[in-house]
Amino acid sequence: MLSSFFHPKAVAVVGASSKPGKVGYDILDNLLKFTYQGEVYPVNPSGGAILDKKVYQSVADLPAGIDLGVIAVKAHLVPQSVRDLAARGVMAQVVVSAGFKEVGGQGRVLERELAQAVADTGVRLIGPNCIGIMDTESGLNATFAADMARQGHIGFFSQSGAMCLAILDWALDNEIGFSKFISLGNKVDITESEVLELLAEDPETRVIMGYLEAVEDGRRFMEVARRVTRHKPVVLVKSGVTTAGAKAASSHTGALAGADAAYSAAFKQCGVLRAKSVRELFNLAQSLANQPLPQGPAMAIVTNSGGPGIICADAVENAGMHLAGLKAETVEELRSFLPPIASFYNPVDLTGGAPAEMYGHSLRTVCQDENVDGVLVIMTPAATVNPLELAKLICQVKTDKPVFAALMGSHSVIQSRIYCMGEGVPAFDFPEEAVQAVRGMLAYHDWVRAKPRQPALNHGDKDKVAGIIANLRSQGRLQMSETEARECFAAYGIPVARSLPAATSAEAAAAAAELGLPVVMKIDSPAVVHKSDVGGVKVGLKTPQEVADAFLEMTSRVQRRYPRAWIRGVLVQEMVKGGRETILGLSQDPQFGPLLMFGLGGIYVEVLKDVSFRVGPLSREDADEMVKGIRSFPLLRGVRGEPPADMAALAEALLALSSLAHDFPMLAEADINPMLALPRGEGVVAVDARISLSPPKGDD
Amino acid sequence: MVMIFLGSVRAYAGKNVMALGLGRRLLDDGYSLAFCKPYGSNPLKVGDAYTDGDAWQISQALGLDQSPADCCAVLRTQDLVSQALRGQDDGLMDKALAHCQKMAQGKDVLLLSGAGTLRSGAMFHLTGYELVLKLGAKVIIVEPYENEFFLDDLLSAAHRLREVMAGVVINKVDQDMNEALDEQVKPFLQKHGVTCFGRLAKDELLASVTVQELSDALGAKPVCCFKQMDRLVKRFLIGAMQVGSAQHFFGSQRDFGCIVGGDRPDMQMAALEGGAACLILTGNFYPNDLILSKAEENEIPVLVVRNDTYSVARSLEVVRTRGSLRGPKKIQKAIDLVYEGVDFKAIYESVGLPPK
Repeated sequence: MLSSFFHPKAVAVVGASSKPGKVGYDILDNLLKFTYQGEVYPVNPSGGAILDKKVYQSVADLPAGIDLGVIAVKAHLVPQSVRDLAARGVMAQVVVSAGFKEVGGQGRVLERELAQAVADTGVRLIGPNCIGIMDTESGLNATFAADMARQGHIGFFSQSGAMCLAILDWALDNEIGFSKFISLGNKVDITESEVLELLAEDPETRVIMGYLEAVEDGRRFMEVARRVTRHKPVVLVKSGVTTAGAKAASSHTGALAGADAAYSAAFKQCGVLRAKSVRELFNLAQSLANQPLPQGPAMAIVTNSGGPGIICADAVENAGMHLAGLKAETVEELRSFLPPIASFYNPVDLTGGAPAEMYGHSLRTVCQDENVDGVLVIMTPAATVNPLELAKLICQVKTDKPVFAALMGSHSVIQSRIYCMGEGVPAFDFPEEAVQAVRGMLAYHDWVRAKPRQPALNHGDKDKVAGIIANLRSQGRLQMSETEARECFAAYGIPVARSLPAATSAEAAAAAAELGLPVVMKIDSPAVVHKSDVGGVKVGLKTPQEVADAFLEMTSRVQRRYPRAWIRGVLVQEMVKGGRETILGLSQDPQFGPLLMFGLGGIYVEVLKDVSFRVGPLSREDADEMVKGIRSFPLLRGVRGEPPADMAALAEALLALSSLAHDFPMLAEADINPMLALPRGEGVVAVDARISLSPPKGDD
Repeated sequence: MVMIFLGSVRAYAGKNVMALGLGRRLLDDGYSLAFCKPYGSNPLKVGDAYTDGDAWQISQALGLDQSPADCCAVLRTQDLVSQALRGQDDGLMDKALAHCQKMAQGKDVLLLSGAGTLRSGAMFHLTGYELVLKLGAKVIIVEPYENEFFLDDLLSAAHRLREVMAGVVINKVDQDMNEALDEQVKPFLQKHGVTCFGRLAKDELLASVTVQELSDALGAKPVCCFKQMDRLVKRFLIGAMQVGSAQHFFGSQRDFGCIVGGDRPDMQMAALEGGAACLILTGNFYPNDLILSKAEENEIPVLVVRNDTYSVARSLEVVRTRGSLRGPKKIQKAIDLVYEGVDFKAIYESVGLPPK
């Protein structure tokens, strides 16, 4: 399939036009004017010749042996063209025509017809509504872009055609090369997942770079990406990060898990490097395509000025890396040829008077130091240094460590930067961008070195949970009572606080005596989901009288607030002391499925939104990372002499929740809030539990 | 001694307003008075005892020398409900009757008020209908005017009460309905043997709620201006339009509560500048700093609620029908309305109360 698209023996252009400026003309022109060696067959009912090529009046007239078809006819003619080409054995097709689902209305209908044509014929199709594809090795330019990409090792795909055109134009000026250039368009057949697989197979592609607006099938994408990233880095920009998240979800997890949380988690879990901007995307892709991976976080800085050196050092630290401690031999070597006012330690500051050759010598010396994992060269345009000469010296250094250049300024250094880029040395205006790129490379290095993660699924009491769910379904309920939710969690091994139901104040006092005072009291009513919002939770009830009073007060208050609510009574619960409040949650992401959440409870969740997410099912490492991934993790580890919380038990509970979600995909949302984390070795206790189901569909 | 029972066919009809006005007038006219609810459904803890919150408030407002326990004979608590559901509710009617008899001792008038409707309390064998017949109390029905359909319920209640039915007071009457009431409704009722003692005009102040009451009723989190929680909200607007239309929409309205999506800072700002008495931000979104500082500057409380705008608007309907009588202004207003609209002489005659 890869070769049919990118190394076709012959290409048919259906909808070829004789008018310059029309898409059908530009594509034909691009196929002919670059280095593509295969045959090109224009098709147009008018016949004649375009650009000295005989025009075939119909697809049926085409000769055999064509393996790629490019379709640029009006939208309503596209489905038939696909079928006609398939009938001639052209099984790889690119549809550049627009006017499909992106225009709505009739376009949607046409897109369904096109999908049907694809399904009926078994062709593989890129588009519609795309700008086409390029392969720099075969010289194939089946796009209506104004130019051809430079040859290189970045395989690029984009959902947006406009981004393709802009990136191509920018890359040409910056000497950035591509192996393949794929505009995905509406993704009626070939999606990002297939493209990842195509580019993974491509020997010319060293790094896969993409611009995405949405993923078609999240689970499949993760499965493919997890495989591909093992041997080839994938860097993506996913736009649409911010979300108003205006859904008034009934759970904390639902409200906190905006659309982007699932993407971030999924990318992380399948080794995809996520760039936050198009510039970062390029920086990272360019670095990964041309530089060896750093083997560790120890960076060396070679600079001709103190300020930028310090800025760079700060950026290194902030990125979670550190400055390499140079070996004594390295320092001595530097001392032997640098002026005495230079700094021989890291950052190595050659001072403002350093000529290019001194840079070269220093760079070679630092690269030989075993303590150094990567080198950042910083130059500010002093009169003593010739930027282009320096650029050449940087590019000549032979080393198995990644080297990055921050050639600061614009006017006098822009040519030098472009020279570096052309030679495969990533060059930046400012050192922070270089550091950002190294950090991404290091993250990829860690991903490749780490053992592939396996989902850690617990065996819970499935029958118990299935019974509870069947009961809800039979009653047409979606929201579990707290008691039901607690039973589900307990069935999967999550420790829950003991509690007893009470229908009267006397029963509540008796229950409290049985559990042991003090106790917690919660309203028990199917109408009340957020108990504390309506005064439906009382903690620290110390005497039977307090318990009885709280019963009357709480039930009256809820009755006033929800006049139509059915109040069963209350739950009297043992009061767990000494734990730290955390929250565990589950929601369903439309693309990726179960999304697990962890955070510290109370204001940390409510105000600071300090939570971590992973797509389920979780591996043990995922669960550990979730616990350690929140900003307020030091609070769990213990501050001011507090004992650390039982983080292992928290991770276990996350795995149990993940297993529950895996076994019962109809769970729409679940919250354990709070989950009290006791000191290390003492476990965790779920204090409040909530589960809701998705509306029934089909067979569940 | 005369017993007067204020009942209604629908809940939240205005019995408390009538109790305040009639009670005040009876006292002003020199009658000795006791007031209680034989069956109360609004439990409130006063000191160490539970009583009906409305009855206690009315008793206090009228300056009656009654204990909280005096104000209510049988209180509908969750204990009572649970016991009734288990069939353990014997003797509640006897308890209520005995309580009323005790309260009536030495008084000219025992003013009683029902809870909910005349049918309420059936699950405890304690409906208003049964009670008044056993007590021999005269019943004044308070009923909000809606459309002619309210007459169906009213007449069937009158029919059931027969000789203990004294008459009716019609509540929440719009200015433009006065004529219809005089020309058609009153004569019609009279023809069916039901005396109309008067009408209570629809009133904005009585229908208003404080921000604190709103906050409690909605389970909201107030996020600023905690000292302004007693501000009155007289009406509600939903801020869901484009900002450009907001000025026109809010117009010259004042004292309105604006229900607005928590993710609509543009509309929030427009409401803060357009005369809102409070903002109710839906969807559990906290306001940004700009909104908060503007709210602080204009002293407009901001409430954050978890529900969506539609659910909040629906909940507010309940809040508004149940408008409480808290605060001296509202109490005086209630008394004034009754004084203005009710023919006390006719009532006295009907219930057989000798002049003082």
